[in-house]
Amino acid sequence: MAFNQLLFPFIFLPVSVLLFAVVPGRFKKLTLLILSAVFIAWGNPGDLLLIFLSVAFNYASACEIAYLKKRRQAKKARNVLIASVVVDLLMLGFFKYYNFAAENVGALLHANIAKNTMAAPVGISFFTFSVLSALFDVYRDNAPAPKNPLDFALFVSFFPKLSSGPIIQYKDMMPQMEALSVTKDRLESGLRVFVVGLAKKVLLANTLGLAFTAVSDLPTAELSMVTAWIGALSYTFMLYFDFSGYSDMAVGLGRVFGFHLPQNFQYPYCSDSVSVFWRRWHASLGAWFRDYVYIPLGGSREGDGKTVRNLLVVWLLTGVWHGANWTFLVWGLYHGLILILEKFVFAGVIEKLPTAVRRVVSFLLVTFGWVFFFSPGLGSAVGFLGSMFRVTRFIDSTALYYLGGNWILFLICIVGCTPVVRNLAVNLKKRGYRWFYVAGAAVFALLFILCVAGMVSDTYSSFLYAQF
Amino acid sequence: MNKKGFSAKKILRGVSRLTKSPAMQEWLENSRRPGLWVTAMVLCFATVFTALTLLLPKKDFSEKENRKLAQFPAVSWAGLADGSAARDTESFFADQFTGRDFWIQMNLRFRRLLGQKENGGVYIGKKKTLFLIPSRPNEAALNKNLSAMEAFASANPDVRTYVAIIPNAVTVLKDKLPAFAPVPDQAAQMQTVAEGVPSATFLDVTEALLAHKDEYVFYRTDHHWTSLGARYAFEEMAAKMEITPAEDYDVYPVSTTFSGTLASKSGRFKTLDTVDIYVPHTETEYNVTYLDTQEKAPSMYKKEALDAKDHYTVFFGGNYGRVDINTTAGTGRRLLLFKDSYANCMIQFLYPCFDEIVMVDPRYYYDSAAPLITQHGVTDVLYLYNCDTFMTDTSLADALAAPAANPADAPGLPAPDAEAASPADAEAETKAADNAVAGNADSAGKADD
Repeated sequence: MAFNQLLFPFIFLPVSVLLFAVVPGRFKKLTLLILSAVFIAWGNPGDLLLIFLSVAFNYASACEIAYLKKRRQAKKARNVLIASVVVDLLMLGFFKYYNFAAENVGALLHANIAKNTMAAPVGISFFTFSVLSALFDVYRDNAPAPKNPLDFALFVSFFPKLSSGPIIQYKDMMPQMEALSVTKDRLESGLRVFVVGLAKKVLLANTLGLAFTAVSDLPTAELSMVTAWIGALSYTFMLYFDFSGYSDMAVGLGRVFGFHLPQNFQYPYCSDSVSVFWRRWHASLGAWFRDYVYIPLGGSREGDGKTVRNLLVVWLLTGVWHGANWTFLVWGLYHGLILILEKFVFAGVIEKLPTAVRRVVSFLLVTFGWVFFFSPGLGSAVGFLGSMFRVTRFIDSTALYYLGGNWILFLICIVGCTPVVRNLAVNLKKRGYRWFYVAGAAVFALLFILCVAGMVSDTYSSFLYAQF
Repeated sequence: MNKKGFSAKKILRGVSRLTKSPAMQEWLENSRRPGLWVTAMVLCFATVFTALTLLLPKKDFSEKENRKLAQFPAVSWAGLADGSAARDTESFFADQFTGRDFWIQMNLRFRRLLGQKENGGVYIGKKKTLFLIPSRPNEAALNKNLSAMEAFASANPDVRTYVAIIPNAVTVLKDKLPAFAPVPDQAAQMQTVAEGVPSATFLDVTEALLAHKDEYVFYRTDHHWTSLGARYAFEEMAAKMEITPAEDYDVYPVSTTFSGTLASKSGRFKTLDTVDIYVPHTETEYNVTYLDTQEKAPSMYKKEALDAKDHYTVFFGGNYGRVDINTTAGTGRRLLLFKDSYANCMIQFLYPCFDEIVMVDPRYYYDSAAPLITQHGVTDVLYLYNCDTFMTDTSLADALAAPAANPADAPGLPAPDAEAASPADAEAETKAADNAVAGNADSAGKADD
């Protein structure tokens, strides 16, 4: 079930909140766990089994690691850690990368390697990283072993964050398991964040998706420069509003049930360098790689050579984490390379540039990166980038048409990517304008109503007679 | 309104007086919690609409979307296990959601406010005109069709072959398109067709239609042309085909409430179309034989269609693999017509000029059409398609291919007297029946273009 399907805000959410609020304290976690199981099974009942197996295996591993560490058998604990991590990564790899590997190795050997036809369980990239953080945290004594298997299961499968994050780390989530409850304050602020996220997804991202699909359906060779930019920008905005919208919804829902999930996006497109961008874009993934890969590898403390190596490793993995395709690998390395250049080559130059220039340059670099992200292959990515610089064919009527249909949306998106609206709201609140509260509520009401219209329309399909 | 005391001013004054009242002041003071409002609203809204959706009587059919609406799924273990029960429940909830049409209109309005000029593959043009956005040509299939057409023409040198590709509304009504809307160059596409079949006479009706672009030559809510458009095209074609059109016609508006496929696709129901039929002043009589169903009729018009959703199917009730029209024209000319649905409203102009018209819609015709030439003594072959369909058609070449080597392998090759529907046609019927919706179910024709 997706948060932006009618059934979620209209039935699943109210029922969940109500149930959670009325059951006595000691059953609240169990209630959430059952709700999460229903949420998972709703999409594909088979996922429930895989997630259960992962939970059981990693719970046992974490307990074993803690037990061995207590008995000062560090080496054994290390072996258990390594074995468990390998098992988790194999499961992730099987569902995510096996087909890609089979395809490429098969092409290389001119052999036909059997493909996996099982669909990957929902949120496997996310919950695998959750369980890995648990293993590492327990091994490194950052957090105690899970006492209650139900707590651990809830940590892995908590439905607001299961399918798309944020990737909350074990050491951050487990201490929050105590004293779960619904309060009026949390309910109101949680739902507010949820509605904002829903609006980002339904009103902006889905509408931008239409423009992006339209442009990407055109043959690359026919694109004028402006059309290509409209395509690239609509994807850039769409990805942000889609992903940050989903994260907002997760954070808001988490808050309703008393969990503080990490903010995943902090106006990333306003960053004045790509390094800063990565601290603000999908921050929970960046934090994960920092805590569990970059720093254990030595981080930036062991000389420039090792730092460069570590950065490349992290960015290679970041790229691959996003999907099994050469384009993601190139995209990851592209960002790794930019970060290395920012850190070692252009640090002095960048400092002297005005902030506005730095912001624009960072935004453009990120936008070029997304071209690799959305292209089906490296060839088409290069072709698309070529169209973005095709000065000989600057603009055509197609570009004017899409510009006419989307400029208002782009303006809204540009404003939405900045903290302007939030700052305005904070300011007005500080001044204590009474009408502000009424107006604020009206805005939220309007957003929610428009979201409902959008969610209903997403299911609009006219019957088009016999189409063979 | 003013007299009843509901003017905007009065309401505003009332509201401002209310906000200044001490009780309201205190309430406002205590309600600096927009989140609470949102919470209350979201929860109330969710409760009310969920209750209404679940309690109100369920609808079976959406006139606007022209499809059956999902019902609450039957509960079964299999359905629960494979997740289909979950998906069906989602469809049920969305389809039966209270005020569904209203919400869809609201979203459309929101997108229009943002400046978007298309929805569901339809351009929302000026003067309430909707345009089907043409698909990208299927180059491979097009080349195959063109070579097959050329081969067919060369194989029958004594038969006159004509190709009429009708430009779509996006070409003819260009000035009603949204500004800068990208459309294919249909003139160039027709050029390709003309050059691809050098043995045929290409009938270009673009100018004839353009000359009347301010008249009602295309439906505003449907992707077809009107009978008037077909008439102008026919007059242009008749000269080149050396046939004599009727002097005049009686025009009967048979429907003034036609809401076509483009309205359904785009969700925009701003206007209704009129369907006219043209009855020529002629002595010639005719009868129609539907070979798919063996049904015979004295008229090409199907009144029942006017009670259903798609009023364009008043012409023949839709598309069939093969329909024969026998007339008393006595001109000595017999026409084999390969066509899509644009031809359906053209027959009313064509029939007084031919002794027989053998109408083949290759999309639903699974035999070879080659033997029809000798079987029916065909003197003229006409390909009549609209440009968009022709550029994407994948069935014409197969119909033009030589028949199977052993006639016994091709069952139901229709002989003039003992005509039997082929099994393939029966299959098409089943497919159509599967897809047919309440309105279209009784007329088994396929209304696809």
